[in-house]
Amino acid sequence: MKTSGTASASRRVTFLTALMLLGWTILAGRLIHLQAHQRRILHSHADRQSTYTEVLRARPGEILDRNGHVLAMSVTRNSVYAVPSRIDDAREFAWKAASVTGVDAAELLHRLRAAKNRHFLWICRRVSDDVARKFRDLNLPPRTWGFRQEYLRQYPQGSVAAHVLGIRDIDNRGHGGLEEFFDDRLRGRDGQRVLTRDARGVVVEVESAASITPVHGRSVVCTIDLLTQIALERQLEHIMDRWTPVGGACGIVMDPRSGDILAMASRPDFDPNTPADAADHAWTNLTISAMFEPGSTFKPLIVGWALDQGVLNRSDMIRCFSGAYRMGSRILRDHHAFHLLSVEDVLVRSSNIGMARIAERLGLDGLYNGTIAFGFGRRTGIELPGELTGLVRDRRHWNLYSLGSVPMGQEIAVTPLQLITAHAVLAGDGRLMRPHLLLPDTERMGTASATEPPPRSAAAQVESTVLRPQTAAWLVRHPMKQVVERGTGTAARIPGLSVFGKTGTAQKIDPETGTYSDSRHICSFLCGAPAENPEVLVLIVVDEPTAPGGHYGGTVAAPAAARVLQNALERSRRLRRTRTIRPEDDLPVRLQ
Amino acid sequence: MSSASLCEHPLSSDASDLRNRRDMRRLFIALICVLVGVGIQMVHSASLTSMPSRADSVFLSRHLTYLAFSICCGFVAAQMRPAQLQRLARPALFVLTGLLILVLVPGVGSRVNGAQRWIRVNGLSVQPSELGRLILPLAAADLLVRCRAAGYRIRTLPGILLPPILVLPLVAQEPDLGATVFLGISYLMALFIGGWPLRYFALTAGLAIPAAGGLLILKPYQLQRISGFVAAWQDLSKAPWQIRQSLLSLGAGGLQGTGIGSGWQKLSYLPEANTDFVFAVIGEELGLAGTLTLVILWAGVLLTGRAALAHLRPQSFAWTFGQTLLLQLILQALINVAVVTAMVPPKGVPHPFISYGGTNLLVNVTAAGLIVAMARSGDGPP
Repeated sequence: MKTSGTASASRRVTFLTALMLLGWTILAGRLIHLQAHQRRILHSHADRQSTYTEVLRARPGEILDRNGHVLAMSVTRNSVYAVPSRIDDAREFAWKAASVTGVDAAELLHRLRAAKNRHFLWICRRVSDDVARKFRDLNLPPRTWGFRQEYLRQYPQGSVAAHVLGIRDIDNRGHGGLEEFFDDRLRGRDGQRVLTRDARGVVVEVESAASITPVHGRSVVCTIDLLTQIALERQLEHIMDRWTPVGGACGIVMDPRSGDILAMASRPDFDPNTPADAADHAWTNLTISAMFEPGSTFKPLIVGWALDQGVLNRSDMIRCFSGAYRMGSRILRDHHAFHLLSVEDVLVRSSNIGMARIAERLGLDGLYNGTIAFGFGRRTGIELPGELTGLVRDRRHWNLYSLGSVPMGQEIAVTPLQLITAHAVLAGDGRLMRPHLLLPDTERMGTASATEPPPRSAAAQVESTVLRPQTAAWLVRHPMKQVVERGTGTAARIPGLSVFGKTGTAQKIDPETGTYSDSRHICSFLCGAPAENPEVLVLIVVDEPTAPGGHYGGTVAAPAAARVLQNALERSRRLRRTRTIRPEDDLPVRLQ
Repeated sequence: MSSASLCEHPLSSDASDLRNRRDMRRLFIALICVLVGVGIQMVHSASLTSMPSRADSVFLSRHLTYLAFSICCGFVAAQMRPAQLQRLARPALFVLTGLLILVLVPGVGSRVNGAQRWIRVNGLSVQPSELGRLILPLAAADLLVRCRAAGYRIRTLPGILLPPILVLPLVAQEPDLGATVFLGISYLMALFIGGWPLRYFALTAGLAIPAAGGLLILKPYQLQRISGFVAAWQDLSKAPWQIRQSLLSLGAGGLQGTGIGSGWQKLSYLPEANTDFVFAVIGEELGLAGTLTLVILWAGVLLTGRAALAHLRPQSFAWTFGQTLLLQLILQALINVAVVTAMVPPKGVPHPFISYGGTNLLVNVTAAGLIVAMARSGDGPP
């Protein structure tokens, strides 16, 4: 009994021992499973919970006008975040935070609860300094919230040059204008910082090897002159009030010698600081995306082409058939019954019949080639997104009808920028320039590195020579100057200045009848000065003015254009003496 | 296994056998010392946090203080004779019961995280339930030896089951479910080793299983713990934080580990890094090599301890007590590793000799001393 009892007791211990050894074997197997087979996946899990990649935002570059006035800049603003994992009373936190930031309290509470184990949650981004101070004064529990600095795009001049600038969104992407076109240059490159954090979210270490320094965006200095721009905007504003045009209005100021765009504006406009408030059609930059029949402003170009092609002499007299001229099945009419007009007077009187007679000498091929030579039917290549090509129908579709229509600026559609660029040929020694917004020698502002290759728009500004300089000069000094002296553009006369110009009044196609409307016009006026050596060219286009008082380019657009011209000329002279004015030397201007 | 032959000549005591036994004892002590050494290193390393402060080094010095005191106790324990211990069994049980009642008295027992488990005197804290791991097996061995003569009649049943009936409810009341279960298991283990008839085990099981079921219904959070543990097997991201971090630590260690002191998880992610989850830190810093070495060490402790006790007469007091303490030590280590590797639901069981912890270290070193004492008892007078 006793021996069997002790033997069984021994067996029991052996059994337990075996059980223990079995247990250890199983655990050893489990350890091999975890530490050998699953080690990679577990390791990556462990890494993921302790490393955190923080994006270091690149500061977007500024956009400056030609004198260094800031048109667009980025300022640092505080963004408020919460640390949900450390918040004890989410309800109170949400209520207090919402009271100063204007965030919806219920929504914030919901977000806080959904993320209650996380260490980071945005409450409100890019708040004003005032809100930041109020938030600080809430005295919420320490370490449950914090500020992080982010960049906020600001346009200190408000809506001035809005269409040229475009906007930069919250993700640092440019939309429209220079912001979009020079996005790569302005945006810079975000960096990153890899942090190791402990379980409480406290940063323990910065992994410098995996961190990347952000490359801040570079500045863009554009050809815009802020004061000229403001003058243009004011005149457009005035036109909008006075004439209440249906389709808006736009204007361009250009230096015909270089192709620099000194000002460019479009109405209706928007304030890039509050893009959400902008109306849909306000985004359109009419100067590059409005297409209209140029009308009479087209005439000097064709005359110039005909003179250069040798089919016309300045001294030729054109017979105008007393105001009615039959071309095939069509009868062309003039405003007045002219009998015989000089080439100069064809332009000054804006005779349609005279132009048709000149076009007959050119023939369809000559007319077509001339139209193309002045750059119509293709983009000018300005540094703006969304530029349209205008419309020049293929040569095959031109017919006898075209011979009468095209020389008086019908049957083709142009953008305002194309029109002023073509006129810059006349004002600028017969060369077709590429209009541009980027100031070519940006280096002088000290904002770009010297090793950088010159921007593409500065490389080839002269595209081709279209007219002989003498022809161009003659057109400007004689017929176009006479337009202002005694023709349709007398409203643009400026005492003491030799202004040249050309009016344009094109009928719009009535969408109901499909024919030219008698009441809907696009009025334009192009002028420049001084005629002897043009420095500034101004174009103003008004789409369908509705207020009573005449709908001619000479009445609607010319006075405004003249004022812009005068202003721009004064600026141009002032700037010429000191080409590199620093902003502090220039007039301090803030529209706001 | 060689132990089988030793069992057949339990009382042989010739010179070579004696020397052999002494070697086994020394090997056993050496292995324990290795574990204690690993413990010192790991307590030092695992106490580091992500924000280094004085508190980090305090752990090591406290651990060393406890260790010195524990070694004294272990040394004294190793000098004890079975007869002396047997006389101590009953008074010790009453002292234990008294201390456990005292812990529950408000103001005397100190409350940490909703559990009242410690008595704090002059900054020294004692966890009476830990002492139960020595005293319950002692009481079991004593009772079994007394009752054996009567052949374990049914009327001895209340007497034999009295110690756990006194102690376990008090421990459960603290509450300390892990310790309750562990003490219950080790008491049953003692009875099993001591030769208690199997029919009584069936009877006890019949009583204990409904009681455990009732407890789960009464305390649903226990059930939640278990279901959370099951989730860890299927989807790591759903696992409870502790278990997840423990597994990540082991996995992050991989084969060779990150090196002593350079583990990352313990810095803040792994809770209780220097106590219950010290094994996970070993896994991270020493890798699979380290954890498997530790498994082998424990198997070595089991086998050498068993060999050192092998010469004792089975079912004697010394044999029963010694075997129980030995298996209990191994079981504790086993459960700890099982918890850390998510094989069983999480329970607060420290790793013997390695985890930081006062009473636990004291009890384990003393238990080792007592195993040595029992092993020496057959040698005759020293």
